[in-house]
Amino acid sequence: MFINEYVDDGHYWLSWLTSFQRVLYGFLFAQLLGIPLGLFFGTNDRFRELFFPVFELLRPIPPLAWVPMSILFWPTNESSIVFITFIGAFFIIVINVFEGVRSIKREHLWLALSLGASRPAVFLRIMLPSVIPSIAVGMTLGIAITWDVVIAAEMIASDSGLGRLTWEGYVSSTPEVLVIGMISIGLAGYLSTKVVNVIERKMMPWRRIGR
Amino acid sequence: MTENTPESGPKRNLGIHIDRVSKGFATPDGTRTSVFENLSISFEPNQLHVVMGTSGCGKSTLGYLLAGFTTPDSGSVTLDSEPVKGPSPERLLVFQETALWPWMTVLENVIFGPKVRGEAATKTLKTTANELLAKFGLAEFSNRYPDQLSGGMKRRAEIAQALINRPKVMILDEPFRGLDVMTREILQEYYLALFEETRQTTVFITSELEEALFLADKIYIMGGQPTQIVDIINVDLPRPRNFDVTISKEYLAYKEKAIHRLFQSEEK
Repeated sequence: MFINEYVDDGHYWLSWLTSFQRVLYGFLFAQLLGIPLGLFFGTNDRFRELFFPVFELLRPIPPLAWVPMSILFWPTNESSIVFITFIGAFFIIVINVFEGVRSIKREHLWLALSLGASRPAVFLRIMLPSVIPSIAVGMTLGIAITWDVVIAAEMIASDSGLGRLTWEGYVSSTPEVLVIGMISIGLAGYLSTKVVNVIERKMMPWRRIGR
Repeated sequence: MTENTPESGPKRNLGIHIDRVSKGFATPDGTRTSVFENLSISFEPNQLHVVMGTSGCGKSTLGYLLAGFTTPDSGSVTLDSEPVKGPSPERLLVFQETALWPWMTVLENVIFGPKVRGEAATKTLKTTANELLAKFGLAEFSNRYPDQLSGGMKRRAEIAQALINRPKVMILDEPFRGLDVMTREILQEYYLALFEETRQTTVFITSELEEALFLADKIYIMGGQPTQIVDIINVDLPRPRNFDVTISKEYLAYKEKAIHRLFQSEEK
């Protein structure tokens, strides 16, 4: 059967690996830079006043609008795709963490201060855990968007990955490949979300138990 | 007020003194409303003071001033003649709505204060905290998260969380509001027993007359615009009290008198 032969082919699995790698790197960089930036925006008024307007100006630009510039400025095709993927998740994560900091209950901070907690202790033991649920929301939204973005970016600016594979199905008029590609993308997104959900539950043990 | 100098040793002004405090807030339309103007109150040590008033009269603001979460625009707040400059473990407030940190277990919540101040090894603190929790009927719940507890249990955990720090003053801001009547009465008896055992200086904020009469040594009725203390009722019901006191003649006489005076203060 066509499907068996096709799926046995190295090209197919390589496409999976390539796309997963791009999502992983884009997503991880977005977390690594987005969480601290969101915390900064939430805790440092000077920093927010200076840089938040710039951030808000860049945020509405769709990730795919970054494609041409990213191809121009990044040395390799791979790094430009990862960059676009990163852009997809980055803004969402920053906004969520920032909102998380702003919605910390003042009673939670006051209680810690009155019990004699130092500023670093308040940050580490109160503020950080308070924003974990918001970080989790950012992760859930972020992982979905990185898949959106990586597939689109692969179709227009790459010669590998699941997006490209699906596009090839269209170009070569092989609807079977097109369908395999789409189902694979759906599966990949589903698996990623599951993994993220597991991580989120590990991050919030207090939410795991029924009330 | 007497003109005691703060450093005059035995003459030190013990307890909490609010001296000619004014406090206002900016309103959304740009003007300022004044909550307190030249408000003066003295809370003597080892008494259970109940502050009563209608909602929106500034009861919580008073609590926040005592706890140091907010500062007066003018005037001063002192505890044992030391000016209140900010939050401190000497003055702990139990919030109207639960302030337990949901990501910490009950035990972790309770030992937070002494642990963060580095007062003892975690192991020692855990032992102390567990003893305290057992006293509050929460022994089996020390490793649960706050969201797994009932409203009444949360309140008890919060009182334990404050008491482990041996504060000079406990401020309770409508702590039992929103609980069902049964739980509420049980917790009132609980706090009363605790107070009668330790004589922990307490400022208890409430809007319920029955609660006030049952608990208080002294009731301060707030009212007016800006808010002032419009009346003080000394409640000389015998201690230790239990719920039987609420059907005694003396209690009912106090209640009648209090209702009368509340109406008068409303009309002011």
